[in-house]
Amino acid sequence: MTDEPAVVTSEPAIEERVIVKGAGRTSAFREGLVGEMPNLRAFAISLSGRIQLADDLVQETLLKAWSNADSYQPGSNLRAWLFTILRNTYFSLYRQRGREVQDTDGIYSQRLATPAAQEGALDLADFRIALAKLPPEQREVLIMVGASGLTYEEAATVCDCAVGTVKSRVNRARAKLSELLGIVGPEDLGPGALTDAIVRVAPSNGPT
Amino acid sequence: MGVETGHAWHQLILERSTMQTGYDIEVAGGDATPSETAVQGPGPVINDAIGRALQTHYRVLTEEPLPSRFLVLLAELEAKEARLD
Repeated sequence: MTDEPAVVTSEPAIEERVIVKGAGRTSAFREGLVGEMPNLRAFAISLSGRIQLADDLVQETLLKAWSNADSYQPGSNLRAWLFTILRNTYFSLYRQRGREVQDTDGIYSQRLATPAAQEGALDLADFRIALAKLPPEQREVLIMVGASGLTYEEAATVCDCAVGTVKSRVNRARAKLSELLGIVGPEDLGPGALTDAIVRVAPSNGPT
Repeated sequence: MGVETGHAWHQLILERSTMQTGYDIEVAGGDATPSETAVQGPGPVINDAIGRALQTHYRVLTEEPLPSRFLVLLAELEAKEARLD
């Protein structure tokens, strides 16, 4: 991405940031930022596995987005543009600090709401622990194409890699997750999983 | 990841592998080291379960209350810009 902002590794105060007036910061852009905040935060928590770090990443992303608003092309996918900033910020931190910025124990999941598991569905707490154990380059593409609504092509742009690389990482991530969760066949998903998967009626509105 | 070096021939193998949707117990449950053959994901039923868990995980996160500092930050940035007028 040529419009990627320079990596900022510490957090200068807002007053120290050089912000050129104007430069794309329309009210539509601002509203877009506000509208994408829940997705940005969900992506950041999924990626980093730490809520405090995720919130810092979102904050930094918003600052960079504001400062570099003129490099956003109106009409293009704002979420993908913001994800690019966020993941580049995260990986620059990750390269500097390594495992320090990764929570492989999935401790964060204890602070998050966990809806009751449906029959035949994977336990969410178990799933989050497994997700945190994935290599970050697999985790990010899985979240992007499997949950955030980005296409494979958009995810490839975000990661600055080939679409085929995204696909192989997604498949590796799924294989690794099934291994970590101990599911090698449909029977490991519990009764009903196979018929659920075939019928696929109202997946999120089951009886409670 | 040593296999993601982007050689054209390699990409072709990866592309072909991902087209297969067959059920691969060895990949899903074995200890095989990552290789071209491991690019193939698990079968459709497991993929479906993982996909639903992933979406639930993400949806729950997006429904979490946002820290107020994000909106505070935007307000500060706007105020700073207004002072430049």
